[in-house]
Amino acid sequence: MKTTLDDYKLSPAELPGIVGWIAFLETFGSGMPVISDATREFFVKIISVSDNFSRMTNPSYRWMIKSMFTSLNSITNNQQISLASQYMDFCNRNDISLAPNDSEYESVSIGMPFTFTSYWVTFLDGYGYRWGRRDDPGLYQVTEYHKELNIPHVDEDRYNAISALVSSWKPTPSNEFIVAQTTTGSQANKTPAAAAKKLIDDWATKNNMPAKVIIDFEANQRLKMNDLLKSTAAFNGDVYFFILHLLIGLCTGTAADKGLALSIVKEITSSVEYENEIFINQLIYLSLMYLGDPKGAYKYNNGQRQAALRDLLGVMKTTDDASIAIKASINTNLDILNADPSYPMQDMYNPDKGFNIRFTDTLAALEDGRKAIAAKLPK
Amino acid sequence: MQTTANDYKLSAADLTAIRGWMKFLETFGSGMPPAENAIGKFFAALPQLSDNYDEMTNSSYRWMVETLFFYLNEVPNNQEVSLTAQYGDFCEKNMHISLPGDPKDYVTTAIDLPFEFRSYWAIFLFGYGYKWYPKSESDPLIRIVRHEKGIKIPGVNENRRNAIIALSNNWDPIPSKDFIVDQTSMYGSGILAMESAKKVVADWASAHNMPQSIMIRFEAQQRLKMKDMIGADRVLNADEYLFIFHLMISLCTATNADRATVLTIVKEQANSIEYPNETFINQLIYLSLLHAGNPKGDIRYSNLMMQDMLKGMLAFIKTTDEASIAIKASIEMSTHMLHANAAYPMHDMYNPDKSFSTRFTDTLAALEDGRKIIKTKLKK
Repeated sequence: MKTTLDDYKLSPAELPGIVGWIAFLETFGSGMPVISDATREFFVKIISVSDNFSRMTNPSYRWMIKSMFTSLNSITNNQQISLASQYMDFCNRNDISLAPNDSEYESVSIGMPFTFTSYWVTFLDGYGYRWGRRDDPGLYQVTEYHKELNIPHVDEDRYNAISALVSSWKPTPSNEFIVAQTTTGSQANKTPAAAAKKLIDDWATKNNMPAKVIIDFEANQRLKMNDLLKSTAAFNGDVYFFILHLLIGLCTGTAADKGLALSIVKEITSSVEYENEIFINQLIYLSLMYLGDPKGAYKYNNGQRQAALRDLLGVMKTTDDASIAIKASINTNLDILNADPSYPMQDMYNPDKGFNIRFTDTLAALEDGRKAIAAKLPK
Repeated sequence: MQTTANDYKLSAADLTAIRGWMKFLETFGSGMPPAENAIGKFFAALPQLSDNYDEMTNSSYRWMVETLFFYLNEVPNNQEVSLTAQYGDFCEKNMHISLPGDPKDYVTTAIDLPFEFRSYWAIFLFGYGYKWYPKSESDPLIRIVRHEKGIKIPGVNENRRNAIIALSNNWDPIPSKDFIVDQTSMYGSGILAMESAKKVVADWASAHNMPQSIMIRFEAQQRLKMKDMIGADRVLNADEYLFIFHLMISLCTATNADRATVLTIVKEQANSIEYPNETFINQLIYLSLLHAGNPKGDIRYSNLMMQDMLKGMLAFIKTTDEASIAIKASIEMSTHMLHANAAYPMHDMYNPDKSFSTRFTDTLAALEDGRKIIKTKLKK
């Protein structure tokens, strides 16, 4: 993909979405500890990934996320399992009553377009029954549940396939994938949940999921970082702010990705103002100037700059050497922001240097550092 | 006691606790006007001091607080009188506690508590007692309520603490008549118990010149600490100057000689490149703020936290001697600067081109020069 510098610009509106995406990688990155029920969690979480994707305009991040969904859609039965996962999650979280006898429903009286014959219908349409008031025990009353069926967009083919699947499984789902529980009694919801869990686990083992699609995505993430490091273009603040986010994502990947991240953060990067600094410190310093620049896109005040750093710190779960260095640098900068409300518009360690000079010097230092890092990369 | 620079390091938690301690000295320092019922207030303040002590990690301040408790524990019957003073205070604050006239009025049997409420003393020890309920025809009984437990045993000196615990065990259920009137009659009970306790405590205070006698002994240690620091041959760091700033305020609560020492210190010329012709106290507070606000330091106070620290000090400093006036004036000026410039002293509007690090180093050097002159003057 041919890119321009504009492809790396992150707008203030999409920043929460990017942080949400990083939080996703902090759970599912191939270098992260495996969580229980990882595949079900994965299918539940990709819904908010899709929501974030819809709010993103940055083509580079959109490309990376899209690549993960494309990879996902190439796996057999991924749509069916996605529905089974959401359904299992729904059953686990809801205690729904099903009336044993049709005559006990009051649905006929309220003109609903469907009958509540199973958990599955409730899952699809968001309505269900709950035992009525104590003084009226004969009837089940209609209750509105949160509609659980959410189909992620991102990959249109996949979206359409799942929509079609839902239509064809209505009112009766494929019994290969879904146990549409119709029996009554307490804990009845555990039956479909247990059946779905087994199905999902078997499918995940067979298809090495979700590791498979994450590893596919991480290859693209790695490629993106390598391209950026080796690029002969002169970078601006937009691109370095992008690199900061990509770097944090990279630490959730393979051992080689963490190694690459470490070689980036530790590179000695000297500016006129800060000699013998490491790359990550200059990168965060530039990012803060970029965020605070009153003539830039963000125009963040001190409190917003602190919040931006805390958001990143809040999602980081990685504990490798690169991550430790990134977190230490973020914490130091938070301390300075807290001590000096004008930081980094003014710099207490360089009070005689104007904002523009420090911005230019830091950018130049990062460019030099980037060349040195690129030179060390495998040819 | 051989000290190192680390003995003067103050953390953010220390600073809060030390302000509690300084506040205590502003009331009980030997140079302060005697407070009414001083000895009663003294014993009532000790549990809070003990709490502050638990929050302190600074070994020098811990040593000073320990010294005070050590001296206290050398005074005969200090443990008994400590309990008596707390008991008197408890009776005074809880005049509303009712004692039933007849044991059959109690509901204790029904709730299976491990003790009986026969007296104010039992309530003081255990924190349970009775209160008359608004008269209700259906329920004429006196009901159990939870009171705040009157007994509080300060830590700090373990020997003293253990002795008081043993004493309270011995005095359960019946305290020594030499010290406590274990009031059990129904009407006016609290008043009688309180007055009796007050008399015991006041007589004891007169006999032992308390709390002055131990304050004077403690102040000798405080004075020694300041002399050691001013006279130190090594180079002092910012932690130590922040320590001196706090110690200096407390020294003003002590003897005339202590105040004169502080006056010599605060008025000394201490010239830096940024602030020539300044007094020592102004440079001292400037460095203290640079140190407390340093984002790469241990305390990392924000501008507002620095304002709170200084305003807190201004609120409790009661001394009005010449040295205290100079200290308060300097604190006030610094609060105005902090208020006017949210980035102060990370940036300095009077020295906008000088970096934080440069100003820090220059101010420290000015204080070191000033200290050498003070050292010579104090030796004479």
